[in-house]
Amino acid sequence: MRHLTWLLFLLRTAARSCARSPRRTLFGLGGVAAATAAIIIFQSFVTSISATTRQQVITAHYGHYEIMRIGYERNKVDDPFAYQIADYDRLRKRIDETVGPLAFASRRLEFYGLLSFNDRSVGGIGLGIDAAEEQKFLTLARVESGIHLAQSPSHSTMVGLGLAEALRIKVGDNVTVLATTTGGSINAVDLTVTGIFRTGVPDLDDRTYYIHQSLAEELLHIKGAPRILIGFKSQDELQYRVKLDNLLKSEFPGLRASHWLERASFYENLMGWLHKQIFVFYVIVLTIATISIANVFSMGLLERTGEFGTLRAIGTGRGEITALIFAESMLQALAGSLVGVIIGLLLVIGPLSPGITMPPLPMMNVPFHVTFAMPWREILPTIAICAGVAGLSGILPALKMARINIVSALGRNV
Amino acid sequence: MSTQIFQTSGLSKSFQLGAKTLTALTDVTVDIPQGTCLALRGPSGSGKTTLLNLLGLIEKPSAGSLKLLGQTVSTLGEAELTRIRRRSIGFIFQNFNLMPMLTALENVEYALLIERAASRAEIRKRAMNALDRLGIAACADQKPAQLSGGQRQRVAIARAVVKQPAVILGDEPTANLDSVNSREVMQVLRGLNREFGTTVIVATHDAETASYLGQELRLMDGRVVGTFAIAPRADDRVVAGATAIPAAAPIPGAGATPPIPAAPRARDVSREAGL
Repeated sequence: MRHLTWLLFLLRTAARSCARSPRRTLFGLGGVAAATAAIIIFQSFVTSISATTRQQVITAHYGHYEIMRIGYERNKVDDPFAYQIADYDRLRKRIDETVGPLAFASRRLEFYGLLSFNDRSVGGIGLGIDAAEEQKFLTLARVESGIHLAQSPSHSTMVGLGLAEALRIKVGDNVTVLATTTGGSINAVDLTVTGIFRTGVPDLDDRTYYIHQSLAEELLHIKGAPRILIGFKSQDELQYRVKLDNLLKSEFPGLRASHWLERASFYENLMGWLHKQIFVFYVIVLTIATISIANVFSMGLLERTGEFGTLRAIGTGRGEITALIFAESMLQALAGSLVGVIIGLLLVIGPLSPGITMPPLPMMNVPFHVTFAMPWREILPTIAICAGVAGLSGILPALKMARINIVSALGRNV
Repeated sequence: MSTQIFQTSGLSKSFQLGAKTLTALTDVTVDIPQGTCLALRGPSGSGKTTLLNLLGLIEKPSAGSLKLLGQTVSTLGEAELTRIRRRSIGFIFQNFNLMPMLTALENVEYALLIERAASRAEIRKRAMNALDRLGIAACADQKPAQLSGGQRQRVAIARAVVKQPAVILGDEPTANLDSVNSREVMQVLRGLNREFGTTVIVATHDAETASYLGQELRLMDGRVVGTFAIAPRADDRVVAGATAIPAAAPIPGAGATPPIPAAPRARDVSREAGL
């Protein structure tokens, strides 16, 4: 209780000391506020990039989860058609009923096929898909020209932009696809290009063409598909992870679900890269802010040397002097970081709300628009870090002042 | 248990100023009994403030020893000295040295708060009592900047006495006050000495200020040149009617200075014994 009394006194005294020289306090507080606001805006930007990129990756190609038979990934090159999922309709129904409401589910029958147009042939990755389902969810596969495969007749294909350019084909052209059937023979099918798509992921756009799942089955002489892509209505797909695994384990043994992050390693690399940038930004901004605050603070303390000499003379310990000064710097830092958060958030919802167009991300070739997202989750950590670091800038001046020579300090008037 | 508040032996203090050594105090050996009201007098540079700082434990001697209530304090560490200052020594400064951001009451409370030995309510009560005794209870909520010089010095005295220290040390406490306030401040100090037996030691170059105190230790060029009894003033309200004490002849400073006569009413030293 007595220590609490002392602590309250300490805080009250610190607050009044801050109020004594408003200009100096405002300068120090302003430094912390500016640094905090800058960090909040940067955090908002990164949060937005992170969310946008995540959504892009999911809706470009990957969905939330991919379901496949155990062993498929390891053996898909040697024996790609030995892992077909037999009971697609029941699987889809059970996921929808017991795991969570599905936004889409699409079979993926992947094959390597030679795409020929006139005298040009290019090897590409053919994908048999449930086009109507994919159109509901994989919205990033923007149709650059023509129509989506979902609206096209059975013998149609939707070709990636890079692949179309390589073959110099356009909507309405007829192409031939040559592929090896499961029996080992060569089969061919003539298709009309009804759409050209672009995901912004060069790896997909330069090599991929989509055909209807039923046609792919016909081409390859096989039923079903080894992979099923699913997407939930909720964007928080991680909440379904355990339920999905449990369902597969209990009712569909031999199947496993792979989260999109397991397949999109570049996303993690990108996030790692961004977070390193945040760290560097933090260090630079906080270092500048800390140095300037420490400077202003030290000058303020120097003017009050006599005051601290008196306190020491009348029996205030070095630790208590340090605590008094530290409380002042913490109060300034805390107030500054709170003001900074408010300024940062106001800028995010005000002048910065239209967002900015960014150059393509690594591994992509389409510029994208980023609107600044409210970094709610980052607010408390940002306040804690900014206030902590800025507050610590008062420690050295405090320790120095606590060790002053009392007699020479008393020589300076309070 | 010692009846001497301070006992010094060969106390010296010198400062290093570049290559030069400046000796501020040389070989001071003196016993100061509890309850003494003592003036340290001498011209500028005589060493009175240095001696006061040494007695106040805010300066460490270069040589010699210092005992406070029988305990050698000249060899103690900073933390221990701080603890003794906090509990047993009250300071009054020439420039009042009040905390400008605190009210008069809070300035007085501070002396008790750092001890953390009493409850909030008790601290407030004792601080108010101290202000009341000094006649400035009405100024309790005012900041130092709103007070006159005399009021500020009374607040400083209240801060010094509220913890009931063994000794109050004043460094030119009236130097920034007019004659009326000077007289009042000195009468307050004298009254505290008479009423509570608190030892009061004031460094001053001013004969008028010294005249309110019972004893005088005269210094010259860093040495004690003698002790004197001071005749009570006619306006000494506390001791009105007492007969004048003739001033003692200066004692030659060969070796130890004879002890300063004990005060007529030595206070109960049980509290101070533990420092």
